[in-house]
Amino acid sequence: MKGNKYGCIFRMGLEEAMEYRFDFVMTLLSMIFPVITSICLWTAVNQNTDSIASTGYTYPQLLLYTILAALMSKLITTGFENQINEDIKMGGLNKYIVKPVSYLRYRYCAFMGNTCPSMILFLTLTAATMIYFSFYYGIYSDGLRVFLFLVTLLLAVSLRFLLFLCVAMWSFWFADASGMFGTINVVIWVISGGIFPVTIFGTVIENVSKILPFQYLTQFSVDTISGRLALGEIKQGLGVQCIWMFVLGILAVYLWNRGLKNYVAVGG
Amino acid sequence: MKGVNEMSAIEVHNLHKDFMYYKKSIGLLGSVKNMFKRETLVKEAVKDVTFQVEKGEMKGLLGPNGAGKTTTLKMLSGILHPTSGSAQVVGYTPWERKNEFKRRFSIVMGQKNQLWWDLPAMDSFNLNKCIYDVDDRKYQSVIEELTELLDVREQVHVQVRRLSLGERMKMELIASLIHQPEILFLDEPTIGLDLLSQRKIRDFLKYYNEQTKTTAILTSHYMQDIEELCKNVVIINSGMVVYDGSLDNVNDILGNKKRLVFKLSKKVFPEDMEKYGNICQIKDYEVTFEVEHREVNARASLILKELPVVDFNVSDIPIEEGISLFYERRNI
Amino acid sequence: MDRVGYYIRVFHALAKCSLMTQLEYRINYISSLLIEIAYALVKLIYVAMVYQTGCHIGTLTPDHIAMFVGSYSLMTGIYMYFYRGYTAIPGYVKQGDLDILLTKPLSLRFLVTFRKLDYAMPVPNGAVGIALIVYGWQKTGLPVTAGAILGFAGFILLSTMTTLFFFLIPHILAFWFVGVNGVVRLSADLWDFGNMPGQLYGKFIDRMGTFVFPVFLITNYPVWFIMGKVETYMVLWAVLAPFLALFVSQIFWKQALKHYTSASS
Repeated sequence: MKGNKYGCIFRMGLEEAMEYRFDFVMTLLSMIFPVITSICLWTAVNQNTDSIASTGYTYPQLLLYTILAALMSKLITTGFENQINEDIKMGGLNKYIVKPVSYLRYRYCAFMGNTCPSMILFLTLTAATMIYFSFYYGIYSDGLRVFLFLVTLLLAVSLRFLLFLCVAMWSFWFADASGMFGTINVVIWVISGGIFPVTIFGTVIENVSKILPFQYLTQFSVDTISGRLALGEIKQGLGVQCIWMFVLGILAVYLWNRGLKNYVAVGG
Repeated sequence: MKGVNEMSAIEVHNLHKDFMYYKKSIGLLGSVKNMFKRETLVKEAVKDVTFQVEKGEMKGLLGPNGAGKTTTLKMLSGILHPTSGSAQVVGYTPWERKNEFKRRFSIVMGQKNQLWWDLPAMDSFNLNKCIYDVDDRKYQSVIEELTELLDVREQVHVQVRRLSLGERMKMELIASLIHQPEILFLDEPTIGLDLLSQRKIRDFLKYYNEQTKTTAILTSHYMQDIEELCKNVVIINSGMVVYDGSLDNVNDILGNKKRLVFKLSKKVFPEDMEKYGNICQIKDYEVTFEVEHREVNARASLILKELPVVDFNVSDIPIEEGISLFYERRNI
Repeated sequence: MDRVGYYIRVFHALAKCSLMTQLEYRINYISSLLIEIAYALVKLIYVAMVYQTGCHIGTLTPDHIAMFVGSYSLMTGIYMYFYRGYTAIPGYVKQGDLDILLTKPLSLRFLVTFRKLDYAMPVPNGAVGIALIVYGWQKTGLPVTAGAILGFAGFILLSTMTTLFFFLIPHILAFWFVGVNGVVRLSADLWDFGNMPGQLYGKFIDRMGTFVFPVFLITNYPVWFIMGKVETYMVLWAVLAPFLALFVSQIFWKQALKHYTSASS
């Protein structure tokens, strides 16, 4: 019974995503330009200095990183935080509290449904990119790595959901939090390694970002498949991902309960 | 007979305006077809319009929806180019859009506003002052006078979005008069307003027109506006002028009929009353006949004799009805 | 001369009205500010990467590159001042709001361009831009003379004019196509290419971006001037470009207006 309910919501999320196809395509095309800039920069770095080595990446790995990180940032995005804000602001939340569907689980299913088409597209493009890079730059990925990549991807997506869920909970306490969401989105895009890997910026930042959850939204997955990380490091990273999922999950539920109390008390 | 130097303020000759638009086929197949070949249709918004407005006159421009009133006004403001025909407004051809011309007229459209929504009207007035290059002293006196006349001295400092519809319209009028234009085009200025606001604006326009002798064209759906403000009207239907003359004469042209209203003491079958004349309306014990002006006496006497009449009244056909008869006409 | 004074007065009135309107919505103003600060962070990340890796572009050092990013940021800030006005144009077309504006006794293009000036977005971009330029200028040890500063300001002014005139074009395509978003977004993406010196992208893109879609002219030339690397043809082009942009965009504008007035009914 419950499965059907959530399955239905999943499908609705999927349909909604299909509607925004054209916008989608434009967003995709938009992505090409910053990628070109980054690739040109890395090429410049590669030609005149030997400081490529200091980044911890090889030149081909950096090119691969630029492309995959951009794909991941653009395709695995959230938008639901705005919807949650709307629900809370407009009192639309009422109809969900009454129904026998957990709002948070509803949001999760809708999000997964929404992400499905872009995820398929992402995997297709990633596969194509990997194939190209294996021919031209000799970067290979074995079966185990691909599997681990998919695992980190799933965790990254869920982590992203939980993180933005916590962010969305701000809507309970702020009159209109939607103004913040855009800003937070951009900041997270940068510190998750969406443009450049965060680890190139020195050991201090490298160590800090290993502990914080942000790197695990984008950089970690890309590093897994590009072969930059050793198996041990991947396992470690997976562990950190899981811990943060757990922490953020609890935080989200806590904020949700606190916020709901506030919401109901005010009268919705 | 007008001399060569006594040109009318507004002269319109054979204005004609076509709009081209594409026929949109329905359905997905239609959309695909449209990408390759589109059928162009022509809408004749204004077919042949000719009239004059004398200096200082406020002329009514009437007609049903889609008759071409707004299109005509847009051509006279220079917003649209006519397909053919000519017009002179204070000696200028409007669609040449000369700045000297633009400084001498104003257009107020009841359904569009030019005021800045989030600012007090005063700020929009000041903007217009700059745009029309009005000097400070004249600006001050105009604002003083107009805000006094329209009784909005306090409201000019309130944000436009917080004003009532009536107050907003008053501000629109003031904004349009800052540069003291010689020509004023008013397109449905009282639309959607409450009765009190309509009255206030009507009174203001009447007073302003009398004092400043501004030439104006007014379109409105409210007969009271036209009756109180305009001595002469132009009636347009389907892009053509079907009447151009005084408001009083409208009934004359239509054959000068009168309405006879009889209140009866008991119900009489309609079939029995038809022989007395054209029955317009039967409501409870009241029956209305439409009778030729000359036959009023004879008919009235006959009906009074033969029907059980308690009360009786003779009146003109309401202007509205007279004019809507024109709406159905195509040629004079 | 009288006419110029007139237009300055009108501009002043419009600028005041835009500012007052924007300050009415304080929360939106702050949101706008915050998101532009976030985007400024993005620009700084590029600079950080260049310094971290010691990246050189040709003979340009990271300090030079910082100035180029700064110049791009500053010009972005300036462009953002009019940007909202341009993006409002499709709205005017759809709602028929141009009618009343057409009856005003001044250039419609002027009125439409300066009706919605933005006072939030230019602030972070301008601040970051100027900070990067000052920083890079100091570090490179290039001479800081009155002449250099004036010349730089002059180039910025020319860039502003070129930006203002040229970038009307993508936005007035709204007169023909209702959904003009794609073109506008594309032009915004191409604008972002200006964040680096054109030679980073290779000769072809450098040429296209200087002479056809003039982002490099707009963002790079002021820095080339500071570096003393401006050749005669560059000065000539920098002076000619605004007039050319005005001329070409005016043709588009007149066509668009014709289309608008013939369609409105």
